[in-house]
Amino acid sequence: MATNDKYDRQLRLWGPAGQKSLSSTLVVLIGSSACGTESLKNLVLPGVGAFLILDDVLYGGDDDSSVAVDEIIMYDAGRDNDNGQDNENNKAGSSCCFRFDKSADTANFFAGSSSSDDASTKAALACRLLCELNPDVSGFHRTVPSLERVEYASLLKELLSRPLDKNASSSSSSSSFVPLNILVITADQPSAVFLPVSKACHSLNLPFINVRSYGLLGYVRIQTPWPYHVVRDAKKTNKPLDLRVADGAPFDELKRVYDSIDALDTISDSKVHGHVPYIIVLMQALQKWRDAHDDESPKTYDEKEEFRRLIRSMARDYDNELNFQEAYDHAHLAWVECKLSDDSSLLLEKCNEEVLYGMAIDADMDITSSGNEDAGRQNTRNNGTVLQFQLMACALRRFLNESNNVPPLEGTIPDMACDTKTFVALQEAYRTKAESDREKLTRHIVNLLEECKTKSNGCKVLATMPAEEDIITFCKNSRDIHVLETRPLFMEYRAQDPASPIVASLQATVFDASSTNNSALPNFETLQADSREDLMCSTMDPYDTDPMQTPLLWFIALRACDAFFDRHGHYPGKHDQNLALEADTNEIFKLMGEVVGHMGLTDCDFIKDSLLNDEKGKDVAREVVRYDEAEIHTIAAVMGGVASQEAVKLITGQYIPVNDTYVYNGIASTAGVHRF
Amino acid sequence: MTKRPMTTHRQRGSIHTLLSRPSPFGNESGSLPVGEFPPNVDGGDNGMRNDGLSQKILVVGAGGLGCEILKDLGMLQIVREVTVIDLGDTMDLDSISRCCLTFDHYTIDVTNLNRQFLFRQKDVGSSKAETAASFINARCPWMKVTPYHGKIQDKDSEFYKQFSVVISGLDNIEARRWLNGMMSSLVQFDEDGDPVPETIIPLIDGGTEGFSGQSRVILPRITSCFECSLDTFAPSKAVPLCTIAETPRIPEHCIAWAFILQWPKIFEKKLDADSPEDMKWVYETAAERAKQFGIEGVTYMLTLGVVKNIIPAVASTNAIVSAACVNEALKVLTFCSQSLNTYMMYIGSEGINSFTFIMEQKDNCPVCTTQTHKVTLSGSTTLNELLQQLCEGEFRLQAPSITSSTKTLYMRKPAALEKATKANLDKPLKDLISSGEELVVTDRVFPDTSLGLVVTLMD
Repeated sequence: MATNDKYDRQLRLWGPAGQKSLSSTLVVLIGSSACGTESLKNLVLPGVGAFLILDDVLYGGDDDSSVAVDEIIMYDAGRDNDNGQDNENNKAGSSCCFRFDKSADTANFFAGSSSSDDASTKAALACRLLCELNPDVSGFHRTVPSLERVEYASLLKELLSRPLDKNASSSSSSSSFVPLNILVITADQPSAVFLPVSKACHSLNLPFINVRSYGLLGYVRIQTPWPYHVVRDAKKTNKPLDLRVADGAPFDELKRVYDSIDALDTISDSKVHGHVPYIIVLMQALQKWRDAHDDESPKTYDEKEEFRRLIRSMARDYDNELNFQEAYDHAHLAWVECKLSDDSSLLLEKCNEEVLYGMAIDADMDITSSGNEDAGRQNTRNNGTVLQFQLMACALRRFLNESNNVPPLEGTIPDMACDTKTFVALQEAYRTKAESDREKLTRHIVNLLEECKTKSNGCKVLATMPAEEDIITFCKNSRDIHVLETRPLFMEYRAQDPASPIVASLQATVFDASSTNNSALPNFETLQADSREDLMCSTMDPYDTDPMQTPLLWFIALRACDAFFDRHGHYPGKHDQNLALEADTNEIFKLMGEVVGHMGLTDCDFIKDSLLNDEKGKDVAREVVRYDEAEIHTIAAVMGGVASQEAVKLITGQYIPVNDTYVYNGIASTAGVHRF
Repeated sequence: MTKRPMTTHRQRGSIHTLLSRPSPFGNESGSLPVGEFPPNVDGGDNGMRNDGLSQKILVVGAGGLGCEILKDLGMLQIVREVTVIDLGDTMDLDSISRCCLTFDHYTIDVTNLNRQFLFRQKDVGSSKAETAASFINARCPWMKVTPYHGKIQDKDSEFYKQFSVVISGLDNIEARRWLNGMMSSLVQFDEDGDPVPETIIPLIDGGTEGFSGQSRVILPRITSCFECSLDTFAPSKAVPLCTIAETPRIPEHCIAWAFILQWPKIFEKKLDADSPEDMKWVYETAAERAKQFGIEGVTYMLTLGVVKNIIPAVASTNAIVSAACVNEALKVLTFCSQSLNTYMMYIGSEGINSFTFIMEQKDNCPVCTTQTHKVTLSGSTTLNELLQQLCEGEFRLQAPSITSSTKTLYMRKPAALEKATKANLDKPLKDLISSGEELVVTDRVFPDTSLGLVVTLMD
């Protein structure tokens, strides 16, 4: 083998920076179902720092007391189970009057094994089997009496502040893991679990993913940390080129290269003529055009076509002169304006200095973290990322004010037909200009930091100088900056099923305004309204081949199943008798109608003709009742794959995460992205 | 306060629930029906088709997709017999740039470990097919995986006939074309010219690159086939040799110079891309040339990427695509739900872009239509030029042989025949055939299939 790096194939996607983010992150998996362990598998393989599996024993006792964090039994990673430690843990585990039936969990690759397993709980066994996949990853597990009674905010806070000890008593592995970031995944959990987890993650600014596999259906919902997720490097594949050949765009360094090249019609050597790079061909063609058109660039469609013909006519042997073909293909560069994308401009408007000062200056330094949940906000990684983004965005605003709204140059050019010397000179010109733009932006950052200090009145300034690498990435992407803000899942769910007894019972802890900082949900109403509009639009675009297989219908059916569970404590289709199945079908049909109403889709023709139609709607209901919440491995594996890919995006800040729910319909293999 | 029900015990349904209860959305109700769903009402093991017991499955490839596919099949709990064949990633043999290159993909490499999760550090160097099979056989004792370590082309139609579904997890176009051609050639037709259903073996094909992938269902001779959509897999654009030799601009050009042009000049032996010494030489030679031309960015990692034509790969995408493929296998084995019609794309780099559509059959697909193809050429065109056109044109053939109804024009094998027909290559077509004559073209990308070609000659 020519490389020893087992991560080679992924480093080619997310680079060392992405790998570092990954290896310093702790993933907390709540619920070790098949789609949960499949999600973890795809994060353990690429080398996430550590994982913690939290699961319950679901016993029938009537102990209703809250499980405090300290009472949670903590198991060490499965690999070090030869030191006797595990035996003790086993005893502790089995004391929960629980019998773990391995054969019952048939769809989970990380649950059963033919060899005799001494692991006592689902979480313990999953942990051990997952650890085998990658020795770089530390695995932990905890088993609790009921996941519905865990204080998630305290648990996550503890995980953020106290290192996870590999094994304090074992000399062989004294390493401990201090996560820089935590990502939480709930897998196949009822609302009584995912609602409080959603709330805890929201108040602690942690990224959160809710993943579900249900019969032949599934979905992945992401919840970004507050106030938003920063896309540091979108890595778009089809970015428009930033070559600055339009009128007024060429910068001094480029002009110098341009001046050093002879006019095309004076070049006698045909080989030289065929190697003048298309950047220069375009600039010369534009000059020619402007000389003949009162110093105006092509504007109308006809003029643009005429300009393209001009380029062709400047070639001596168009079919064999690749540089002219390239110029022809890129003719639009002669008139495109170099500016920020519309979305980026809107985003930048929201990044002003007042917001920056507010975030950068820690006015509450005296208040040490108490029981106040919002104190946790100070510590999370997302705060640092957001603050750094605000700082650079404010610097970009100042940069644009000075540069007539032309953003920093990206600084790289694509390969093109050209001789080596000219290409290297062009490359150098673009690089030099990009560097000087970056220096300008850096000076604005320095000034902004100074201003923060002046305004701080002795309070601590939280903002710090970004690393050079981060400024480089920011400048490269400055034409198209992205953040992603999703609605908190707990708010979405309440809107969809306000009458749920679970919502009512969580009212005090999850939804109560006094326990939620008002500033925590500033955009919820706007986001919710936007998503309603999107949803309405997407009903206009059903799956052509068979409209009943449109994914959003099936998501509504799944929400009806959640509503059913909230009311009955079990999912529909539990009993095999025809009468029971028919009764469940009727109730699901009714609940779908209610969810549709709460989503504001009652008057939508497509929904009226599908879910609300007595025959078609009941068929959908009958199908989900058929499942009895069946765990089908293929569906679990698809959903785990999607969840882990989204986790990588949220953890690395690279690529753009889904906004915000991916619905997979494994019946006809259709899928869609919605905000419900 | 509203009474809140407490979760007591959650016993979820399973695959058996799915197979034992009737559905309004059985396979027969879908837009690509294959069979009628008979729910296994008494929950027992009867109804062979329903629970997949008698069904043998072939998995092609034991790499990133193959490992996932084997696990997914095992965890369905209803599959009893699987054969896995792994040929490794063979390079495109006709690509000039790689003729001096050798490397091994039959065995496990350390760079497989970030996604091929049935392999461990200790397995590096072992056979992929065998290691994957023995892992699954130990973990899923209810299913028997038989490994076959070798090329798919070494097996004949009798071998492929025995399976009820073939799942392909290959990363190379040429092997996928061959497999598609093979599955298509197995279809027999009745007196009316309709395909005999029993001879149609579904081929489920998956592929990934980075954060994107696709899975599709091919019912040979019924739906579009792999060859119909060949255009969607653009052939890799080769950098002209003159650029590499004379006007290098980017680091890739310097690396290509080092391994394509310099290596054969200096060394007798083939370049071994698995050898750190060989690759270090290529890297240093490329770096030296880059320095000479003022080009920046030659790194060892890039050198490896260019020489081996590495496609980035991650666990998550493999998981999505493989599971979507096996989900289709479940449906054609049990008819428990509708079949994918026919193509599902997944693009995960900017949000998630996921769409399902019917890939249409191509009118003149050389594999799944029987019609002859027409070309008009000048009579002075040489046979070699015609063959060249077949390779570079839309058919993208690799090594065509060609016969007329009366004589063999050019055959590549056996060697004696090649020698005897070689002289024809430089002859003009007008000396070899008459205008409007139907020629038969065979090529290694189409097993047991030939291409009918009617050549009209102009003067």
